Amino acid sequence: MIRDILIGQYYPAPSPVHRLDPRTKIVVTFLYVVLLFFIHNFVGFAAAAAFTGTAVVAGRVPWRLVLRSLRPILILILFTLVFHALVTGGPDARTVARWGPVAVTDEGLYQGALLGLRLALLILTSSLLTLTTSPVELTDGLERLLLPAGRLGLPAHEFAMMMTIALRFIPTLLEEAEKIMKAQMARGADFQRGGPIQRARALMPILVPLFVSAFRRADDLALAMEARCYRGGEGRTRYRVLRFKRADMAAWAVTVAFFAVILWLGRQGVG
Amino acid sequence: MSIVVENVSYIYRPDTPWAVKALDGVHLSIAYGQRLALVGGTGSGKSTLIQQLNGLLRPTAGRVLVDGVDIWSKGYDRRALRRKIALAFQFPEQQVFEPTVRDDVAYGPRMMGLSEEEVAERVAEAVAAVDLSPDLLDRSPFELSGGQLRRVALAGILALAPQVLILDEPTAGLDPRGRRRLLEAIARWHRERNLTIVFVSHNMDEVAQIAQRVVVMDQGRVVMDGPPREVFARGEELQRFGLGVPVTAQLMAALRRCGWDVPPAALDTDEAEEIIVAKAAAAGS
Repeated sequence: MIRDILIGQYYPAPSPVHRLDPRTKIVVTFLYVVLLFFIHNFVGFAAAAAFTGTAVVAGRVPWRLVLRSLRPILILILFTLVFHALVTGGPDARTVARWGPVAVTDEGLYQGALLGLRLALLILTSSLLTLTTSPVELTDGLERLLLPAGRLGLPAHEFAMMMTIALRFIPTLLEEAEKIMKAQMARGADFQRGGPIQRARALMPILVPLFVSAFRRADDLALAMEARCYRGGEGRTRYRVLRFKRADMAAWAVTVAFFAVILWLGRQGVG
Repeated sequence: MSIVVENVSYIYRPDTPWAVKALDGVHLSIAYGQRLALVGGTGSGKSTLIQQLNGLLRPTAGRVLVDGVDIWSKGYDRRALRRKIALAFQFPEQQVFEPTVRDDVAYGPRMMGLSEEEVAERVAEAVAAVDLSPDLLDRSPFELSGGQLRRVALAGILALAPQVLILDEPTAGLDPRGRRRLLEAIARWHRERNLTIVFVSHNMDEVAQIAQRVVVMDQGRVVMDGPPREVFARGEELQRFGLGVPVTAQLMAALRRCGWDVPPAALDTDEAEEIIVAKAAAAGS
């Protein structure tokens, strides 16, 4: 049911990737995503896939879990492929199949496949980030990375705190939604029957109690934070201090080397 | 006529690293008309088990038979089943959502497709059954006190006119008077409406007061099943499952340790008093 949904799910494991500084992982992932857009051939994507594969193995995350993140965008990838195959044409394009006015060109298939691969690798790698980094570490790292922007007036700490709280309460709210849904089902509610309007109305018995309890929770949390003298980021010390370790240096060295190769391979044949 | 749980196992989030086996081959048979208490420590599987009884969760393995029919067989009407076997979750007041008490109690009957007259009848009856003043019917549920709101929620479930009522810790968070009134009301529904009661609790004093049969769960299995007097006589075993015994049974156990020859368990203070007075009189003469 609802609780099976995987949103930024953390997979705890004793791996070198888990132990890396979250800042390293965030920046590497970000650079990787940018890099993906500079690759224009299969060899380059193969090299990029090798990098992701290495990270998955080093992170000791089961393949099944990583691949599962693709499920929601599978349709998008297929659509991209089909769309490209059908509409791309050009002076060099050769038609490989034709049904009446619909023509599939080799160039279109090629472009579609590249874009599909780009999307798939993008999702796989960013889900690997959340699988190997706990939400708290993630927001800690993000906060540190945003700190320079704080001088420009961006409330980095408040932003990170908001994210931590939001992430923390997603599973709680999902669990609660499921419980309320079951309670209403026990009273005879039916969420499957009827047209769109009827179905939307059937959601009221879930949404009203869910909002009531979310507001109550928010109130309680604010009170609990104030009771413990929370007053924002200024002058706050940390329990967990992020440290750039030797492992991070090694990770960066490997990454830079990998990325250079990927970029070199991926730019072959581009004018 | 009965509910039969046949070798039921249930796993949350199967095939993931977070899989949890909540039920492990449970056998249980509940005849209509019983007043049964389901007890067990946190995580023993009692909440999972009660959701199997009315088809809110589908067993990973095993069958649930109601009146001899598998409730997961093809074409079985599980919505109708949930009206017959009603379930009140813990803190049922969290499910209240309509703008007025009347509408909220009427939600279930309306979903059944009853006419407005029948709905009004059901509402009046249910509200009376939980000792709620009819003056409150047009108030917003969110203006009521916690105890009143709990009774509104329970009225919403009684309005389904079920044959079996499953209550998950119905007295949690109530003050002593609220507790006592609710327990009395539950006994009355059993008596007057011939309602089968399945009562989930870990308050043993309440269990002693309400149950004719006690089923003890531990780690997803049924580990004891019998009349309260027998179950509470096995205090040491219950303690191993993270449970206690009613204070009156504790008293009897203490007296036995002092060398008094008293029965192993008394279920309420009247019974305990009788036993002690009789013993004292015998010793004095």
